[in-house]
Amino acid sequence: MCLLVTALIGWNILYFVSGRKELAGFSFLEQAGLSYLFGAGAIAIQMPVMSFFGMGYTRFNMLLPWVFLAGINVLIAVLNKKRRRQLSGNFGTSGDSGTPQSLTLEKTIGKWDVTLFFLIAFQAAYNIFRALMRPIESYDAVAIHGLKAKMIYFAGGLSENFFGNISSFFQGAHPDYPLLIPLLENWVYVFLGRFNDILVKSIFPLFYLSFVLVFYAVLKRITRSRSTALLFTFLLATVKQFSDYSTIGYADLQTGIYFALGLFYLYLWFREKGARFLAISLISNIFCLWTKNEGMLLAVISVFVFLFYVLANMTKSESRRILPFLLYAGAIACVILAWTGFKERCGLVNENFNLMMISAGNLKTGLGKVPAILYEYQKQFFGFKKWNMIWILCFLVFLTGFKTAFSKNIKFITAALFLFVMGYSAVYIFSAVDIKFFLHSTGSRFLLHILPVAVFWMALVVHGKKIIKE
Amino acid sequence: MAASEVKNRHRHHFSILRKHAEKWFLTLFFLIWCILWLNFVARDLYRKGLLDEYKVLAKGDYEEKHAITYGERFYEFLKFVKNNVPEETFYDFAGLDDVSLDSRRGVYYLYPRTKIKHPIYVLVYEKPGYTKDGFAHYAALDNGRFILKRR
Repeated sequence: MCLLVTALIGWNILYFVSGRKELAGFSFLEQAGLSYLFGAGAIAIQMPVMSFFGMGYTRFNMLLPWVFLAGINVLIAVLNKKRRRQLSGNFGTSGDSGTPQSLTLEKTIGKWDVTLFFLIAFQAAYNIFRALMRPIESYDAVAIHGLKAKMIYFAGGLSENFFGNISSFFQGAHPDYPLLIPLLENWVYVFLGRFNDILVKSIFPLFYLSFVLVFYAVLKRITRSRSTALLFTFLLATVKQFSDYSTIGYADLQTGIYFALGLFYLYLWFREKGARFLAISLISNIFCLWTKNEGMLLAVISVFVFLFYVLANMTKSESRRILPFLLYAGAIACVILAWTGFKERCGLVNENFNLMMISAGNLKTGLGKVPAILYEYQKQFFGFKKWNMIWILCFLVFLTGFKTAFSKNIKFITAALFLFVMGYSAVYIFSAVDIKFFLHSTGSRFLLHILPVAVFWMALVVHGKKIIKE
Repeated sequence: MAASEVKNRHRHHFSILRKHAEKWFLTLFFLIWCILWLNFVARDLYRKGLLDEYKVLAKGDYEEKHAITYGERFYEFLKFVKNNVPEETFYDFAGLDDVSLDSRRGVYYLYPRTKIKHPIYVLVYEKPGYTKDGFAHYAALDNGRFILKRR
């Protein structure tokens, strides 16, 4: 019930940002997936705002703003209906601007598609089962997110001394980490009316399932091929590291998911325009920022990707592209500044990496870490146990589809991959932590942040090559 | 004329061969992927013994799931502490490494009790005969699992 309400909240946001277009062109699967992902993020942003206004976290208080939004959406729906009626009166058409994707796709479902569907469904069901078999128990899940969620729930909200308490008493709980996961866990406790650290874990495999749905829907929208979309969704869904992290209560999968959504819908905006794609991308990036500290770097990567697009299209009516870019970058900058300003005011510093560590001196010593970093990348590249052959496949796609990777809009996603490698390598180089320990504890987790984008990129390149051949 | 015809025919054959090769490569790749995927799922279930654990977990209630996950002895100790130590108080562990997973689980489970360096209670886990200056015996679960309280 709690998760359904979360999805309903997300659907309302999605409907609201779609405005006059009323989710036209969004398949049911895409809507379902986005609804949960948006609902989860929105709830986690709503709670600190409520704390700021001194509101307690009760079910009623938390649902109230969304009831208002639902009311606005009803109004939008009525106005849209009226507008459509007027249009059909004037032109004898329905006035729908979007073509449902299903109408333009192949209708037959082959054995191949059915097989892939069942394999993905098996993996998703297995993940849900695994998540619900155990309470929150893995290292960061208890030491950071679970503990914070429990503190927030027992205090009835984000108390004034919440961050101070964590700094003073809970070593290793990282007070500077964003709070999306703890607040979402708290939302489940508030909704249930009791603390239950087994049921709360259902939020994690649902992130996985929802994202898999969106991933498939976006690929289907782009490739217009069910089989291609299913194949790449299958590849992503069955990467062991990706599915394992949907069961243990860490924040890395969610970070990767929101970053990927941000880039997917930015890519769709590059292709088809439409303000709602840009809005979805922006909202996803804000959720990404609120999930993990690395989200800041990832959101900046999205801004750079957008900037590259604007610069590459400078000759074509630039004002039409610069304004959305400025709004997009401005909104992300505001959130980053607000969060870093708040952390500074509370004296919350990340001991592993912070901007103060970027200096010439650290660069000089940091360059000595490069062999260790490259060794770790190599280890992950051939790490079949965690990644199956995904990175090898990625490399092969890059080699065979080199031209396609730098063609049309695909080059912007390629740029995102390069920026990711550069950005994360820089974090390792400048970090003050013992590099072997840092790489060992984060290497495979950090790659989750880019995995969905990498698989998406592979699908684009393979599909792009097919189109060029045809 | 004939030479270009032969060239075209070769090109056509080559493209057919390439298509077949691509198809075979993709099928082979997909098969290897599936074998690896299922192998790792099966390895977890059978070789790491998760299947047997899941069978027990699936039948267990809330408490049993915690006990199996945390380890029965450790969970029993945590429950004992929870029942014997007041909520708004300070403790420290003896016998658990600060950065160990057990310590983290303990801190999480025992909240709102707070772990600090100068505690009121010392929670001794698997350290028979442990003593600390200024602390007296408070409650015991067994020889190795007990609680000390500041005098």
